[in-house]
Amino acid sequence: MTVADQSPIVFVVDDDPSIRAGLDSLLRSVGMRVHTYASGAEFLQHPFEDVPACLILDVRLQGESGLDFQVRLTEMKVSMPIVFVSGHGDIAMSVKAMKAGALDFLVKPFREQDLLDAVTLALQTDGKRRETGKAVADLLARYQTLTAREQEVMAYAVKGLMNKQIASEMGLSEITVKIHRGHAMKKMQARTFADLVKMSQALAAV
Amino acid sequence: MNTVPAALAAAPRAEVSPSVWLLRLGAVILALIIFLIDWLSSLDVAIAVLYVAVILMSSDLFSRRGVALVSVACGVLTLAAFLFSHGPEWLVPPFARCLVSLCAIAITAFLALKNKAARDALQEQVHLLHRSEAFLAGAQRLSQTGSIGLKMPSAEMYWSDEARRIFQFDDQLQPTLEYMIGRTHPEDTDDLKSLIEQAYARHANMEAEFRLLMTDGSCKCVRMLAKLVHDASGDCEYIGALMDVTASKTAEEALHRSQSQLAHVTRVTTLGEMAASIAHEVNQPLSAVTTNAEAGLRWLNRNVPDLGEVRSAIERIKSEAHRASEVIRRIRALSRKTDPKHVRIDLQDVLLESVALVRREVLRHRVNFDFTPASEPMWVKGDKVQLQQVIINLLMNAMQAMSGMHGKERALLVSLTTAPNGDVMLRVQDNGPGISTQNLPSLFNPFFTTKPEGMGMGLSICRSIIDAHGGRIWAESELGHGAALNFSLPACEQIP
Repeated sequence: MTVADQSPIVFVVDDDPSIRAGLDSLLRSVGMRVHTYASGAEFLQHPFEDVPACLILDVRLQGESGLDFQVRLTEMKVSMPIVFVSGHGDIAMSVKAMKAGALDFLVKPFREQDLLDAVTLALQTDGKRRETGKAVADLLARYQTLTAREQEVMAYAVKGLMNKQIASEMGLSEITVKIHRGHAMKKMQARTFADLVKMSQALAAV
Repeated sequence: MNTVPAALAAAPRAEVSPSVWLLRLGAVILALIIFLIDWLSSLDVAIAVLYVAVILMSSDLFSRRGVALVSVACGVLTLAAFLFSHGPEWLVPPFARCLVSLCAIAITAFLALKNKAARDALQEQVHLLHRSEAFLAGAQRLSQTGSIGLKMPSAEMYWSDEARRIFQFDDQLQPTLEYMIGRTHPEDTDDLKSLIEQAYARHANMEAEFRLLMTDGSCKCVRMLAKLVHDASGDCEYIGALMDVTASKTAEEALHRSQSQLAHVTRVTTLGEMAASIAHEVNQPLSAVTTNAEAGLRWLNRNVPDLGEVRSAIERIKSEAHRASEVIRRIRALSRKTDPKHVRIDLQDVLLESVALVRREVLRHRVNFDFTPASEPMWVKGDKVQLQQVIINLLMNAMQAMSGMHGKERALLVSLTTAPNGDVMLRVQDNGPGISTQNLPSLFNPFFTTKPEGMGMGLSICRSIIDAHGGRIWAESELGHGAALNFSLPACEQIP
């Protein structure tokens, strides 16, 4: 695995070949990796890489429109940030796009710096989203290593129950609860009890 | 002159000139002198034969009845002279002389009357001929049609008064082919010369339209039809009709002018309807230009400028700028106000250019556009801008017809084919709501529209344009199953 493969990717979906070529050149000139496609369907045919990415999407595409494609991506749980570009600044259209989670909506001809800024922001957002996602996934993986008893003890503990109370709830001795609790802390890699509470909250959010 | 001049043949007979009266008197006196000599002289000759002179004279002076009366009178005078001088003695020699005289009188009278009858018939025919000539002259004057005769190969010409009037030739002047060429508009002289060459080559029928340049600088349009006729002697002559069509030409031109103005107005209106699409069509390349320019600059401003990238960015800028100017050129061509020029063009080219103009509209209406280009050019004779207008109008109508349609794919099918009779046929078919049977016949009428903001001029203009191209436009539809608008134009195979 090379370093380049880890760098973020900008996807461009626009039906106008010259716009595609221009965006490709512009983004590459600032050192970004770019993949361009003429339609949403063509975009979906290619496998995603596990790197931060964003999508520059033309609103008015031949066949399926950009807005429809955005909805489809959401349904497919592809949560890549989208920067819309459009030939006509239609307020209703931009509101719809933004409500559906678009990161920005640029009207052609736009200032190139605006686009680069939007793309940079989108990539950062995606990077963060990916990091958070990754942290949660790690947490979940660690949580999976806990035995059922340990998970149960952990659930009672983060609720604020004392060891004695947990022992009586579960019908165990206080010593056994202490051992389970110790294992849980260790397996979850929680240094303090407060860490364990935070982790439990993060897991609850998934 | 003892006969009435031909020109006055139609005049009333009462107006007999005094000289005729004098001659009549002379004839009577001559008859009396002969009678007196016959009666009083004792010459043994048939003096009465001289009555023949009186009868011959009277044949020019009197009507047929008059001549008969004169003849009878002469006979009576002969008998009277015989009776007065010889009494009732039937002496053989004098009586024989009398009989000879009477025979001579009778024969002369018979011949004179016959001659008179023939002359009268001829006179009547001359009279009729003059009358029909007068009718013809009047009709020529009214219809502004003159006659020209041209004898070949002597090139001797006959011109009717109206023909002279059209060419504004003097009555004294004997028009010749040279004069005729001299009067022709300089731009049309060659046409007339080739027509004259045709005449020398004895073409059976000739037809031409040319302009005349009058001495006052005004222009006339004339139309000439000529037919070759052979006479009994083997000579031939062109009998031609010459018509002054200036007025109808002017009216026709005015009609064409207003039609082309109306076409222009509707064309601009259509462009107005397409304004948003056109703006997008120009905006798109402009956007590509700025993006590529920015990219080029960034490649250039790098620590190590990448000239290859800069070059391809500039090349894209160039082609995009060209694309934008091409869009503008098409729109300008369509909005320009020019007189239609009928030239040989490929209808497929016209169609593709029209489709390029409405490309965005097709996208905007989410229409599935289907056109398979023909492998061969479809040559027709016509005005590119006007034909483009018709095609755009049909395409826009079809898309607008489908705009209210939901939950069904909008399909626009365009086909360009050659009809069985060789005409080039273009068909624009949609799958919209279709046209109701009662609307179908009035579809091409002016001010007929089913659209709330429609002016109802589009299809009416289309029809007048196609008519002017010698073609046909028609609609086919079944309610609920879409509509198909077709037009056909005569194919133009030879390079003119």
